Amino acid sequence: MHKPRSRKPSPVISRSTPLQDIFSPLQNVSVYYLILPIILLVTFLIRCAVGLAPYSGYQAPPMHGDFEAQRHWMEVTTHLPMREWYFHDLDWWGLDYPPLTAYHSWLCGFIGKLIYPAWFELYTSRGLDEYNLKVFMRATVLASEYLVYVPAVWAFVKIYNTKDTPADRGMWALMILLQPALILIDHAHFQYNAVMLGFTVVAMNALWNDQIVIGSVFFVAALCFKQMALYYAPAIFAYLLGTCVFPRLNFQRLVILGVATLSTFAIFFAPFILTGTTGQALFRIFPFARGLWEDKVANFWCTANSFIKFRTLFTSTQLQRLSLLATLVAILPPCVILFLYPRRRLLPLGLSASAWGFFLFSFQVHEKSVLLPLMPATLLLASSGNDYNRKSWVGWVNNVAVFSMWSLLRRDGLGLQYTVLLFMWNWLAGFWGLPDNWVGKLVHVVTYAGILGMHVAEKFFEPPAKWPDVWVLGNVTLSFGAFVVFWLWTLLRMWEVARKPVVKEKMKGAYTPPQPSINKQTCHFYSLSNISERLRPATAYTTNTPMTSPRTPDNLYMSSIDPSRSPLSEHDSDELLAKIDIYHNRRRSSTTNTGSTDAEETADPDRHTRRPSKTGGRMKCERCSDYNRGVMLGSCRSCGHINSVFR
Amino acid sequence: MSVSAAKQQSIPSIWQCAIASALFKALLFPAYRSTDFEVHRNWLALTHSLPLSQWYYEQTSEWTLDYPPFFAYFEYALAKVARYFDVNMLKVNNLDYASDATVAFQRLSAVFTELFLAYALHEFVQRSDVKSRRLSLISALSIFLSPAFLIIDHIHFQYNGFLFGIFVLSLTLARDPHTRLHSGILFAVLLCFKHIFLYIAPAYFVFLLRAYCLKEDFSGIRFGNCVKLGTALVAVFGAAFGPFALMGQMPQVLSRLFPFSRGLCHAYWAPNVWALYSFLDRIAIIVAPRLGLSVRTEALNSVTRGLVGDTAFAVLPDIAPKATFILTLLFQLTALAKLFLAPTWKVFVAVTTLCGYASFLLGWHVHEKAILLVIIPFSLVILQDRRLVRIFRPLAAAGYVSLFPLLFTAAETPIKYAYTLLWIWIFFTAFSRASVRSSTRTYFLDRISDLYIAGLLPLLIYTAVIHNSGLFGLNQYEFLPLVFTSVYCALGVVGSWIGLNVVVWSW
Repeated sequence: MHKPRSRKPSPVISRSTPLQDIFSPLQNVSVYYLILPIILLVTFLIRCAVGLAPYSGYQAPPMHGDFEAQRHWMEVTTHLPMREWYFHDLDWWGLDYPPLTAYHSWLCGFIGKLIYPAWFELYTSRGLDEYNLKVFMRATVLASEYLVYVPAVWAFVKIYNTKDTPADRGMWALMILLQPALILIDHAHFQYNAVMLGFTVVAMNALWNDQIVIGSVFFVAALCFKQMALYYAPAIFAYLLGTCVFPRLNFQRLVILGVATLSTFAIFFAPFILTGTTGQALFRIFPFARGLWEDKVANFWCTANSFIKFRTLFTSTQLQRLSLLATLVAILPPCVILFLYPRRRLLPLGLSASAWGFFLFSFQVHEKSVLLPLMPATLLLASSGNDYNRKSWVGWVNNVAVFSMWSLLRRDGLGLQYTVLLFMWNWLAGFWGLPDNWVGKLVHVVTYAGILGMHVAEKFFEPPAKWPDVWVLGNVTLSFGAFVVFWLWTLLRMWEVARKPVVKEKMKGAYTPPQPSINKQTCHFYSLSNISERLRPATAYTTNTPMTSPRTPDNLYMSSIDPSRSPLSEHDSDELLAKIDIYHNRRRSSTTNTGSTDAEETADPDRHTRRPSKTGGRMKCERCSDYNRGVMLGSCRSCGHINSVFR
Repeated sequence: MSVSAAKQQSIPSIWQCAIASALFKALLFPAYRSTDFEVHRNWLALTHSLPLSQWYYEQTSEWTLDYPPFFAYFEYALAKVARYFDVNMLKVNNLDYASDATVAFQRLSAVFTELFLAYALHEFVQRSDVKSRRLSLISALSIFLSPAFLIIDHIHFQYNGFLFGIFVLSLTLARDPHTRLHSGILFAVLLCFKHIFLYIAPAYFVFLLRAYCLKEDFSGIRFGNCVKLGTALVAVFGAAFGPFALMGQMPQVLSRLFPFSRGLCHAYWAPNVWALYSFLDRIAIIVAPRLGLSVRTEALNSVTRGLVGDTAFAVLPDIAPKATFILTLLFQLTALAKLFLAPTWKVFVAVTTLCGYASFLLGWHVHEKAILLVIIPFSLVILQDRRLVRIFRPLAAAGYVSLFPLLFTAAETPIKYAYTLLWIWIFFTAFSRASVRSSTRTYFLDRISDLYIAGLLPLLIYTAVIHNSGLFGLNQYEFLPLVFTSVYCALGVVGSWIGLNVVVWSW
């Protein structure tokens, strides 16, 4: 006997991740105000807890590590005049980051000196390993990250998909902020990468809104904080150039861009230009004299070096030219795509692809530099609700990236943090899932098996005497292979997104082709030609994510309209308009009737979810909590959600 | 029903929270540890390497075994696993030994044994009736994620999570008449783990007597039940203390368990009536000369320093241990009378809470950690009555803030603040949204309680920032932050105690 198929959407529930379950109580208008504090506190707590770990170079004389470098720069910048910053005792962690890092060090050092001057005393404070100093330095990393990176990510998830509920957005933000690689490097190993990455995200957000001046200023800020942001520069440049050329040449825009960029550089470098030390600064920032790579990095040169001995075949200069050429070839595809199709949805992908090109093929790469291609890739988690493909690929590459830094982390004594953070992130966001196609499945399974096998082997077996570095080499080779695969995946996705014609249909989770942006000035909010577009997202939303959508009467109502009929043609709008009128009349009469008696109020379990708050004549949307003025048909300007209160 | 079913799904399960919090606690392995860490390591060592007869006599370390036998057996079992981590931690002479493996083992043992609390709370939720299951789940989550366990167990280091797991399970089993015997047995087991639970034993005694041993209409005694309970209790205590009684060590065991030589207040005053009393005395020292009262000069130093030992008062009369016991018992008796008249589960848990209150507020040498004896049972009944939510707020806020001085190191300070703030934010919202409406609410008192909680903020700012910054020369009085904390928190705890008494008698 066959039972009739149950209509309950049980498979959806079974696929929900722990993070979704934990966030589900927040899918309620009346507690939306809790989401941001919760995210801030949770990320803060985890960063603090990771910060209890030892840092790089902890009690490791004579040179200590990155922690000592940063502390030393605070010592130098607070005690010496600017013209000596890039000259002072270069053998002991001489300053080799751009000016913004120097200013930042000065600020931190200034505050630190107020608290306890001996931490940053010239010469005598070298190699200090004091408990309170560690706490102070950790606090500066946290504060810097909370001032730049965290708000930038929050803004990004907000603009990336305006149709998400605030709780969903919070979920994406938390997933991005709990990315293990960045936490491990910044808060355990000790660096300030989040500032540079944060400036980049701010720049990307600005470009998303087509604020090119702000965008370029912040990208220059990223460059002036850490020269590594150059990895992104070709992509940003190609995109901006593309927006100047397509659909028609806009020379004025080009000039504005150039002026903004150059003047920002000039302002940041001004003290050094005035004291005539720019040359030394640039020489310190770009150390061409160093080798092709440091340590064991999962890039092409280091991996291929196990098979071909480059250093015996070529001279250092030749190698540099070779790597430059290889890098140029590698970054060409993403840049060309961005130039020809300057669509904002391509930005994260393009930045990531360009940075992968640098990471895999350029010279002077650190294993920590993997954070750069990783950041825009991780941002793709925003609004990845039902797109298991995208989620599993991003999760996978993050896992591999953390694994590729294993030898560094082990040296710092961060095994515990490595294990716990990786497990926590994967478990919370449910990255165990595999992509749909068999190639992806195969790649993922093989990599994960390789990672596990390598860890087990390293733990229990001594490397053969002939190859003492065999585990490290295995790590590098595996990671390099995975990175190349992910780089190709990024290019493929870019191509797909770019080639997809701009259509107005179905928001199917993954890559929506860029919507014709609803310009606030030109949008005729209540014109009939627009109504079908306003209604569509709400329908798509309820049909795509039944698990997370709040059970408001609106959603139930909207899902009662046959989803197959969307996108609605303009022909349908009259009929719909009538329907909505009927609906709102019904709602209005029911709200005036009920609410006065207690029995009615308690009988309605969703009474808290119904009311959008009204602030100063502006309506706050239930779903995206944007403010609307002059709301017609109760639908929101920015997300199209139909709000139930229509007074 | 479908709506409430959907709502039930929309809450994370206990196990999900258990995994998430266990992972977070794993990150705290390198955090600060108090001397309790060494205490437990020493117990591991002495139970592992010495014969049973010497457990309560061993005194190589100053941290001698002063928990009842079951806890010693528990340490003995743990030591069997600890062997595989680091054998050196099991040597009695290896004082203050803390290798990485030792830390990992001890911290892991706290995390894993805490899973018993998760199990107990799971049972609590499953055994509550379908309609209130969602509310029970909120209570259960609030207990499992409580900042107290994070601060005391996973940073300071103790095994409260596991012990309170037994306690919660026992309270849960008391609900169903068929499992009341198990409840009693579990509580007896708990007493043999940690004797601080003796403070709430009167509530169990009265409840089991009234609801298990006597017939409901007082018409007679249920002899079968009495025999069952009696045998079970004898068996449990026999298993715990029997071996020591046979060896004739009982006087020694008891002297370890009940050291009466300590002072009225702990080094840091727990936020109870005696903290208020000491504070009053301190003020009286300043005021007394103007009123013409005599000040005992020899007491002046010891009051301010608050050292372990005899607390002497300069103006107010001294307090004898006997007086605190009589007071505690007196206030417990009033609550027990209510329980005797109305032996329902709700009243039982509330009276357990009241017994915890009385002993915490009036007991001799109370630790601030004992506030758990009040907060945990309170959390189990909180959603039964809307008024209780309002009473619980100042208690939880004051109780957790009063635990802050346990951690004084800089790196853990933001963790304790942020975690407690997060907990308060989430669960105060959840409680007030989920609580069942009852007839009356006293708006005036509600405002006072809100004001009180808001007042904790300046207190925290003072203790964390202003005091250390040396403004107004306040930092020369080392004890000021502690005094302010315990006195202000004591006000909240006492206030909530009065409130709970009123509510319980109104049921």
